[in-house]
Amino acid sequence: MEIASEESIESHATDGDGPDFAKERPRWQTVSIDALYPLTAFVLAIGGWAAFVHFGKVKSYLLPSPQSVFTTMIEQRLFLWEQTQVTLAEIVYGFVIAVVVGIFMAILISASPLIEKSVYPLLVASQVIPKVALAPLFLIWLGFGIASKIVIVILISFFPIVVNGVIGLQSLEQEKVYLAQSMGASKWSTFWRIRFPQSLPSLFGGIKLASIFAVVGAVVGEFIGAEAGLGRTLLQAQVRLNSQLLYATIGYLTIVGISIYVVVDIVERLAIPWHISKRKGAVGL
Amino acid sequence: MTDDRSGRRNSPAATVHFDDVRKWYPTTGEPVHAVDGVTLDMNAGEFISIVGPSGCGKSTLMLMLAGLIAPTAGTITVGSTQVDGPYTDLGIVFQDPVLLDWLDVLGNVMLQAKMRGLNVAESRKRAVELLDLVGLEGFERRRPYELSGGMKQRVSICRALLHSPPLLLMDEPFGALDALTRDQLNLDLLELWGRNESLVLFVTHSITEAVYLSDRVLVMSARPGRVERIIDIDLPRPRPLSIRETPEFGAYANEIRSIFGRLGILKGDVVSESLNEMGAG
Repeated sequence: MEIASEESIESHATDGDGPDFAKERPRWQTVSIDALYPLTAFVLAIGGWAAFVHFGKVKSYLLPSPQSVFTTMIEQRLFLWEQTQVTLAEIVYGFVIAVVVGIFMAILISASPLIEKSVYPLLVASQVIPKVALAPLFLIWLGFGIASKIVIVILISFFPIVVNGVIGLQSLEQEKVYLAQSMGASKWSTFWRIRFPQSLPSLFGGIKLASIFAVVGAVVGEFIGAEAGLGRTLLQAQVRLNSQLLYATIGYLTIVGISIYVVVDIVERLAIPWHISKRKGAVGL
Repeated sequence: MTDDRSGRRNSPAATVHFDDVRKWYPTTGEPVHAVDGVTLDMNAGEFISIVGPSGCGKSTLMLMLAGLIAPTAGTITVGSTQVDGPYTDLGIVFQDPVLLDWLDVLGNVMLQAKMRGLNVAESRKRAVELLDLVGLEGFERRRPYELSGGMKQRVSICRALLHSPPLLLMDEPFGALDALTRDQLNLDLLELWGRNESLVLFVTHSITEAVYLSDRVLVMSARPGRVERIIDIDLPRPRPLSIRETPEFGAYANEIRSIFGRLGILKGDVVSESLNEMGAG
């Protein structure tokens, strides 16, 4: 036993493989086992909900059973899918514009001390205005269609992108600055080769937050006034005391939110694999 | 100084001259004198160490030579160029390896070439050669997070040497490494330096390391930071690690230690008369 274990340590050392403990089990296996925990918790929660409704004799307009909500989600799928497409379009357009505008502003603020000193404080201060309160304004300006919702989504989700982007772009260690200077690097190449890639983990933190805010923005926008969409469906269901539809709509919104988050997560993994691995390594060790 | 040994130098050999260089930082009270009136000459191809306590201005001196911070008074010239603003005909190694996480080992070494706009194919060949020399063959595609501290610092040294700079600045490069790795990197560094023949300025806390590596050791004192003494290390090269156990080596180490003793930087039983050749730092 002892000889065997010594040998394995030896071979590891000569390979110089570094910390590779995760390799011992295939990655998909680790992921699928990890996924079991939240899945179990989810099933238990739904079970608890069903038991509570069944044994507590809860009136269905207060809290419908999970079975009836699920049935509504299936039966109303054509109607709900139509509404989902509207809301999804608002979210995606608004979110993508927010990402582009947010990154652009972050670069501008971090590159120009003048803009940082003049615009950035105003931007931060403007965040105390509840953006929801501005929503009626955009309805007046842009009407009940998709445009007013897109603007509300942009407004509500671009701020975390700017803030995290600026933090990422400005958090370059002094030694990296020295290193670039000693190489005679121009500001431009320092930016593209060092500063910008270095800011990506922080930037993606902001983008993830923004992806969640974007869903909120679209729903709130539709609450104020809309021709279609899941947010509008929520209001209609509430007015008619149609709890099954209300919950089914929430179900669709949840799926939309999760899907967007997952897409952003995948993009993050593709964009900064070096950071994900480092994070994993830190957790593993 | 001639160039007979290396043959791959692309810049003329560097000589460095410090003329009454001072640096002080304004504070609310008295300004802090980080460096106080340093005048010295460094010759081409020399290996010079600066040893001294924390806060003696060793790193400040180095950064001023690189033109990364400006002296408050005095001038620094490299060759015939007066340093004002970042001086780029050099390589720098910091205590932290300062590797870019998103680039692999080869990419990190090649950063030097990319930033300087050097020929990519040639530089890549040289990068692979350098990595082989420090025992990192086969690691070209690894990411920094997969490397040990010693490996990272080797990558950092290869990056600093990629363009065969006439001047190499090293700021406590091995300070964060364990003793064994440090010994190995001391050996590797002398091997690389022998091929490259740059003027090396090496900042360290370790007396042993300074004596082992250098042609000359600058002994600095703190507050104000000034050069107390310059000691010529007249030991033959190439130097095996075991040279550190010889009486000659011990005498140099003790000389430096007793300077620190006299300055009150080392307190207590610093140098015993009967045991004058213990070379441990």
